[in-house]
Amino acid sequence: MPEQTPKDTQTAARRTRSGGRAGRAERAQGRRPVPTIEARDGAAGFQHPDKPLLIICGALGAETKSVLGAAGLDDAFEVTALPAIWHNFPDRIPAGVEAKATQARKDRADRPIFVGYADCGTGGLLDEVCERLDLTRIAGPHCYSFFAGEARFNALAEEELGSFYLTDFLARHFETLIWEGMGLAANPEMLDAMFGGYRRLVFLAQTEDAALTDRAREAADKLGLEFQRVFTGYGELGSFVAAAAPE
Amino acid sequence: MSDDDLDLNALNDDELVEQMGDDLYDGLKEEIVEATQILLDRGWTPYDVLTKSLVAGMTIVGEDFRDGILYVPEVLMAANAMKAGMSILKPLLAETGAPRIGSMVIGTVKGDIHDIGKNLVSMMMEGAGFEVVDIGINNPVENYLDAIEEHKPDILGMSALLTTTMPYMKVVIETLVEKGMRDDYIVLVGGAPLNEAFAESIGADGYCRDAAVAVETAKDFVARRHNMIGARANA
Repeated sequence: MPEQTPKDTQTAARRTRSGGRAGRAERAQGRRPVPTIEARDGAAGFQHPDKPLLIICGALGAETKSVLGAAGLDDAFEVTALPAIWHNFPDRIPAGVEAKATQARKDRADRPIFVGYADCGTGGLLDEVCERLDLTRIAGPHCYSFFAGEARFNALAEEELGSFYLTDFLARHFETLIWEGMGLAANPEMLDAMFGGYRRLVFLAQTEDAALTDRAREAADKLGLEFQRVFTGYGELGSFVAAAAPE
Repeated sequence: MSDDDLDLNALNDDELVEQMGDDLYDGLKEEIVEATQILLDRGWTPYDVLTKSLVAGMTIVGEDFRDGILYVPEVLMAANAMKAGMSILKPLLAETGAPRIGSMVIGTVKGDIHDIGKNLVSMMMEGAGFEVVDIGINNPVENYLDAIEEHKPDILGMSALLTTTMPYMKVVIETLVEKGMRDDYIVLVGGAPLNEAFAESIGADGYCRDAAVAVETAKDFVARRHNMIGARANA
């Protein structure tokens, strides 16, 4: 069977009545709830108050592990992650970071805490938390920028404003975070309305992984975008953890 | 007969309006067009069809979007359905001289191609009775100036999704100030990374966290503006 194109999915879809507002509960059953900080963290404390704490985005887990390992810093930090799905809900990030930091400082008031987030769509609210609690975050507007480096990211954006970016993590979890997470799986006919402004998908690759590149290319096909791969490595994530490590 | 084969003509007015609410919620464009025409054929004024069925239905959609029950594509489907109904009503509303709440020029700022939120605001503002001129994406300050010069709106709306592009809103507002035009317009801003504090810091009149809030904020500001004009006229 030939592969379905975005255009096919748009024309194939025919909507049916599903009970309007009253039917929403039934439709919502198949959805994963977006985790809250309370659900994720519970009342559990931290295990190593003697070490600096690294609060990272869940989408940086494997990358942080690699960077720490490569620098011989496996045991230098206690690492804790916030839900990766918050990539789609950035308004939850500042409160999530604050809750983690506050919890960690209950055990040790002067504990150094580093934040593995850029601004990430929080509009300065994460910075406000960092300033108030004396936390240090990665510089830059988002992970695309700190992986690619600011100058290279700006050049990519300048070259094609309508660029949609994936990292290794986002390529790996495209179906869950983008296709389902943005509601396109249920409403593929809305693809054009949501991605009509984009022209190309830029895969900012942290690793040399042919299978992952194929998945990113498939994502581009699914979104109806041109594909471009740019190898970035771990970019400024490496220098951030190196600078944060205790002497 | 299944629910999908529902004969809209067989419903009385109250049932039909209720069904339209459900059909808007489900994003059923053809059904909304059909129901809109049925209400008009039954002698409803275009304004009543707009406010008592479409706007009422979209208000519920807006509330559920705000509460995280509906996702963006679902709201877009609903807004598209409403737009289809509006395409029938718009010329009739103009003919019948139905009340117009106000007008708005809206666009995404320079360097930013994201337009989902802006499109939602446009559609829901239209649905609420505003005349909306949408100037699209990636707008330098000149585009905003040209559009407000041409259309003389009550409201200038600006949208941005990126932390890197939202400061451009300040450029637009400062240009309005420099030209002595700032007080001629209500300036509303919105977009995922924005917040109240940012809106205040750049000198906007209001921050709208989503499309439903945008409609309410716009109505509120326009009503206050009209009251001020009325008060001046009576002074």
